[in-house]
Amino acid sequence: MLPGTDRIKLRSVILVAIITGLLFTPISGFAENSCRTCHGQLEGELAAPVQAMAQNDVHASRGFSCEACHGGDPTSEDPEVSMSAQKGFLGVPSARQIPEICARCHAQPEFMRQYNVGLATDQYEKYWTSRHGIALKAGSNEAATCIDCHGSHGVLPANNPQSPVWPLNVPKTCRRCHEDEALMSRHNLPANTYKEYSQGVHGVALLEKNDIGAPACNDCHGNHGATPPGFEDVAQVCRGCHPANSENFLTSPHKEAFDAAGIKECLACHSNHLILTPQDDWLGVEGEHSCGQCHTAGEKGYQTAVNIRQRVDSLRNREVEARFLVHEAERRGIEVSQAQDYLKLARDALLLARTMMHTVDETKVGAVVDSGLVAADEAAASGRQGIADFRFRSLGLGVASILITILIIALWLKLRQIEKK
Amino acid sequence: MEKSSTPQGKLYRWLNERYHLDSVIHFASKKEVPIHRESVWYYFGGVTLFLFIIQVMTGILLLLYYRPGADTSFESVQFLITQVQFGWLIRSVHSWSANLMVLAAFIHMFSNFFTQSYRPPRELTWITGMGLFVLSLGFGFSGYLLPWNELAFFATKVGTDIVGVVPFIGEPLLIFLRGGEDVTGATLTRFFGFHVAVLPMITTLLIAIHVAFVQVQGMGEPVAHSKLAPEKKRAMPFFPNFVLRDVILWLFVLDIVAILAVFFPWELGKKADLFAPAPAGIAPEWYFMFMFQTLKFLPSHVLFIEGELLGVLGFGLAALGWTLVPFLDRPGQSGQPNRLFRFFGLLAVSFIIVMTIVGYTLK
Repeated sequence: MLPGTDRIKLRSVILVAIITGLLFTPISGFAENSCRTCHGQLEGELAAPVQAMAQNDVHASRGFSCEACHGGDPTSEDPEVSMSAQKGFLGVPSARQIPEICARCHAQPEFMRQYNVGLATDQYEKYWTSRHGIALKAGSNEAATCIDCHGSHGVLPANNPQSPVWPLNVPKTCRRCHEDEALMSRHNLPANTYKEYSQGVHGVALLEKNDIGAPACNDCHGNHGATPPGFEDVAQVCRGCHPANSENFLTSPHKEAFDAAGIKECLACHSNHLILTPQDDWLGVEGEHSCGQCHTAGEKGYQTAVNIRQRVDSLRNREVEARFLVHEAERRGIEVSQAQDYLKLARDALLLARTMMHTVDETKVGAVVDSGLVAADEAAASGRQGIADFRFRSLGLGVASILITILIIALWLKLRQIEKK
Repeated sequence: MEKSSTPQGKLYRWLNERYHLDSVIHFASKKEVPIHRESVWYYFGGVTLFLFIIQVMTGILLLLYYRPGADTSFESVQFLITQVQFGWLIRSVHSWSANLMVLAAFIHMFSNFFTQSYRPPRELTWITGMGLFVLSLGFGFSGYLLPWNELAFFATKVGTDIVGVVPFIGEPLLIFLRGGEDVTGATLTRFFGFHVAVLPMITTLLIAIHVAFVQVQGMGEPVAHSKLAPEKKRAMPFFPNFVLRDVILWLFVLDIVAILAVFFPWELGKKADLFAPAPAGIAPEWYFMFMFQTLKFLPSHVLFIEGELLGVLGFGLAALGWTLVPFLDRPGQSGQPNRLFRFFGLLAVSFIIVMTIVGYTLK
């Protein structure tokens, strides 16, 4: 208990602070609040929450203040009352308390409906199924809780591009923990996940090309129910976006063989985080990613890989040649829209052959390649015809220009003859 | 013509008895074209006429295959330039010749302005010439849409939007031009009608009047040349000297058109899609660019008037003033040079060139 004079001084300071706060605060719902008033007068860590809450915080903007999470009584000017245990003051919540605090609102559909009809309310339930939730329940004080991803003070809606859970920001948010070598080693996890992801096709698309359709960490691992995919889950996760490749794989002899050997389906060739752009030389039997990793000469699978590679190569080479010819005709001003249509068919067939390759069925891949070759040949013929047309046009122009020049000279001579008279 | 007993001589005699060709030849042989340092500009009227003739001839050939309609225009032009023998040549010549015709018309108009050829008694020659110039722009605007490609579709949308801001008549005029609220297939068939029937009919009539005026009154002389003593003036016979020079230049222009058509064939682009967003780089034809760019530069409001409306009214007034130049140039009416008009003319040329360049370079 403070002595009487000190208590009067403290109350005077609080009163002045409240008046100053009332005069200068722009947030009406946040104005008459002793938490904000006092913490606003403090410095450093103790003032930071007040400053952060004033920055478009989603809770503050809907009229929630400090006591909603921290408890206490902000209407009292007396800190011994406002921050008393009798008023339910929690202070800084422990990691274990955080999911419970958030769940008081976010797990209540009736309550949440008032603010956002579309917002899910199963995050709390899912969280406890995740690795983060399981670790927290097991007593880890290092497991990520709600605030580690969403922030605590100054929380932004998930659809705000500044939010740490906006798709473009998710990998950087996960990176804060998953790149911490000491932390990851304590949990037997690799710390190079972000580095690998950022170099893979998904990371490049999201982080460099700002393509928010590209998968971030949570698109494969889940967000609130975050858990690493198990053996069966990997293909299911990939299948969400790559259904054709996946379906082809499931019908192939590889499915059974991979299962028997305990090989992870898509990961066997494509890896998980460092997913490189697939190349045609992954087909065939040479190279780091090729079928030669498993198949050796003399096997049926080895020969199939060689044959499929030859077929796909033949289409790619013919398509490249046709594209060159069409481009050359177009560069000369020849109308090539029909040739472009054939080129598109050839290109589509090449893409389809690369997808069909997951069946490892020579006949199926061959049928697609054959249709592509027909289109590529048509395009190449159009391109050749265009180039020949241009030569004919140039020749015709040359002849016409010579005739016109002769006519001009003849008329000029006639004119001179007339004017000499 | 020699009145011999050869077949040509007999034919001439036969025609002369009926159509009095002797009087025409007598008139042509007496007609003279002044020779002075500005004589070169006389040829641009003929070049414009020659390019118009090319337009008519190639236009008729295009009509053999062109099928107006939102579902057929693009396809018919595509068919013409890919499947029809020399179809590409006809279309390219038509497009290049159209652009060169507008350029020649610009040069012809400004050269007559700077030499004050509109002076009495040639006021109506100037006014009919202005009418022909506006018609050639109308040909360009209506013809641009006919292939029904993406760029033309959006450029027509923007162009007709501008018409809509004219006070009182803008809105009904826009509906009339578009055949409805928006640019659709109805606009296309309407523009086709203007391009192949209405505009050629009026143009042919005006050309006949314009050329008849020139033939009756002769070529206008620059002020300085007109003040020379008769013995110091030089001239050449219109026929055959001037006509032969004209033909030589026409052949040269024909070769340029052919070179452009072969090495830079006019692109067809992508078919117009009414529901697609406007692509980047929407621009009108080059001869509208200075107006388009000026309207883009104007602020949304100047005092109480909308910027775009102010721009349209400004260009309208400028065009009216330009047309009435023969009646506004008082010194010119009494055979004196007019430095103020010359200054305004140079200002107009500079403005057009600068704004056109800015329009193509400023993104």
